[in-house]
Amino acid sequence: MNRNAEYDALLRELEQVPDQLEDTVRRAAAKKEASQRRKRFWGIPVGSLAACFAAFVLLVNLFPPFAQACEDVPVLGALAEAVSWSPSLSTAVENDYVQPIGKSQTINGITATIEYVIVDQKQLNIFFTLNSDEYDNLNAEMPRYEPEQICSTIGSNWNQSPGTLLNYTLDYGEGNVPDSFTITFGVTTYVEPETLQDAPLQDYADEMLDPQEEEDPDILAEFTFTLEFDPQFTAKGEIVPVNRTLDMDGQSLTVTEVEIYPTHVRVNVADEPDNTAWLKGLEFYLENEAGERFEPISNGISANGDPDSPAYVSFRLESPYFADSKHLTLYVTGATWLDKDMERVRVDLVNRTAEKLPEGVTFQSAEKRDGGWFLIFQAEQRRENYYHQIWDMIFYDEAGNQYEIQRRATDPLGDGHFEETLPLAEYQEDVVWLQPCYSRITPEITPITIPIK
Amino acid sequence: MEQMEFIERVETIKSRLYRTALLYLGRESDALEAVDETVYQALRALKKLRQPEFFETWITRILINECHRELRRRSRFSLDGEDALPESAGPDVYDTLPLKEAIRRLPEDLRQVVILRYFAGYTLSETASALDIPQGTVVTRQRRALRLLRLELGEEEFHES
Repeated sequence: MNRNAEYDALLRELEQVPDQLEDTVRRAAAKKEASQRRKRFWGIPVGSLAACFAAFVLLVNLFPPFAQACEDVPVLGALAEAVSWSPSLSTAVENDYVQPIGKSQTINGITATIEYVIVDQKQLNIFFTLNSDEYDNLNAEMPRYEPEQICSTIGSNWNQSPGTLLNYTLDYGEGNVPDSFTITFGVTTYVEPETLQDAPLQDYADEMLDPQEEEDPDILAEFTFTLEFDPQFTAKGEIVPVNRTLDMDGQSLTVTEVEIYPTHVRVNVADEPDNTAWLKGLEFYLENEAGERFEPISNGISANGDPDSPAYVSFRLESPYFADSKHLTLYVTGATWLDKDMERVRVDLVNRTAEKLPEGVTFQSAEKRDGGWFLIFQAEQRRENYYHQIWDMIFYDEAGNQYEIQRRATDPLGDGHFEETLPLAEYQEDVVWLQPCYSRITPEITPITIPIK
Repeated sequence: MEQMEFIERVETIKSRLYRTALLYLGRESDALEAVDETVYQALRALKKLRQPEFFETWITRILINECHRELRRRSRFSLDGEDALPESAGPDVYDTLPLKEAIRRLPEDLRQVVILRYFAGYTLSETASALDIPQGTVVTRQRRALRLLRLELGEEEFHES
C-alpha cells in the first residue's frame, strides 16, 4: 500500500469514533461538580481554623452554613437554619438558649451586625451578618481578640451572599469563656482572578501540587466589637468524674471524666504507658433512660489531641443538656489505634512500595511531576458521609527533615472505598516517610457500658 | 459563554478533538480520556474565555497540552514512550514505519501541524491560531512533514489563506 492509500485508510479508521465520546460533556460536568465538593472540603481545615495556641483538635465535616434569611420566619428562624448542621446548637435554639447581641456598625458601605451568641463555659458561637449593596459576596477574615484568647477559632470564611448568617466558633481547652472581650475582624470579597485567555491551564494534579498561595484579598473594612456574655450562660457546664478503666484490643484505657455543656460533651480518657498503641478514635454514644441517643460530633471539633503524643485524649458528643436526663450511660463500641511501631512508614515512591501500610490501605499511584510527587491511596469507607484521613499532614525525608502537606483531598468512590490524594509539593526525593493517622480498627465488639450518672 | 452554548460547541468539535488525540496517543482509551479531561478543563475555565469566537482554538490548545502531558507521563514511566525521530533522519527512515506510527514519530512541531491540518480537519487559519504560529509557518511545516511522510496531498491544501 502506498502512502496515499494508507492515508485514505487512516482517515477512514479515524472516522470511527467510540460510543463513549457521546457522553463526554456529561462526564466533564459530573467531574466538575465532584471537584467543587472536594475543593470545598480540602480548603476548609487549613483556611478556617486559627489556633491561638497549639490546639490539637480534630475537625470533621465542616460544612458552610447555608442560611436562608427570609422575612416571614420567626425571630430565631434564621438562626435555627444556620445551626441546623449541629444537633446540640439546634436544641439550644429550640430551648431559647441564645443571647441576643444586636450590635451594628457601618464602615465603607459595609454593615456588620453581631446578631446572637450561643455560649457556655467552654464554647462560644458568634452569629453575625455582613451586608452591602456593592458586593455580591462577603467574607469575614479570621478575627483577633483583646485580650488574647487561648482558644481555637473556626470561622465560616466562605464566599457567602451579603445577609447570610455567618459564625465563628471559639473553643476553649483548659480555660473558660471570659465575661467579655473585644473582637476585631476584616471583611473581604472574592473576585474571580483575572487570567489571560491562553494562560497555561493546570490539570488537577498540578493544581494540587502548586505551592503558590492565593494572594491575600484586600480588606474592605475592619470591625471591632466589644462583646459581653451573660454569666448565666458562661457558667453552664458540669464535670462528672468517672474513672473507669476498660480493656480493648489488649490496650488499657481509663475514662477519667465526662464534661457536659449545652453545646457539646467531652469524654476525657487517659491511656496506660504500657499500651502498644495510641488511641486515635473512639466509637461511642451516650444514652439516657428514655433511650435517647447522643452521637459523636459529626460536624466541627470531634476530638482533642495530646500535645506530647499522637493520641487523642478527649472526644466530643452531642449534648444531652436540654434532655433533662436522670441517668446517662456511655456505650463504647470500638476504637481506632495507631500501633506505636507504625508511627512512621517508609514509602518507596519510585517503586511504589511501602514497607507496611495501615490495615485496609492500598497504594494506588505515585507520579513524579515538576511540582513534586502526587500520591493516591485507597481505603475502606468505614463510616457513611465521613471524611477519613489516612495520613498525617506532616511527612519526612530519609534524613529526617520535616515537611508539611498544604492540601489533601478525600473522595468517596461509591463502592465502599475512598481515595486519599496526597500532593507532596516541591518534594523530589525518591523515598518519603509518612505518618499514618491509624493502623487498625477494633473489630465490632459488644458495647462496653459505662454508667455516667 | 453560557453552558448551553458550551455543550453545543463541544458537540460540534468533539470528533475532531478525538481524532487529534488518537493520532497523538495511539490508543482509543487514552484518546477518549484526553478528550474527557480537555472538556472538563474547558468547562472549569470557561469564565476565563473572554472571546467566545476563539472557543475552538482554545479548546484545541487545551487538548494538545493534555496530549503532551500524557506523553510526558509515558516517557517518565517508560510506557511505550517512543522518541520522535529527528527531521534529519529523512524520509527513508519514516518509510519503514506504518503511516500512523510515522506521524507519531515526527518532530513535535511538524506532527502537530500535520495532525490538525490533514486528519482533524482544521483550516490553515484555525491551525495557525490553535498553535499560535503564523500561517506561513504552518505552510512550511506541513510541507516538511508531507515530504518526510512521502504524502502527496492536493495542492489546494497549500493555497488556503
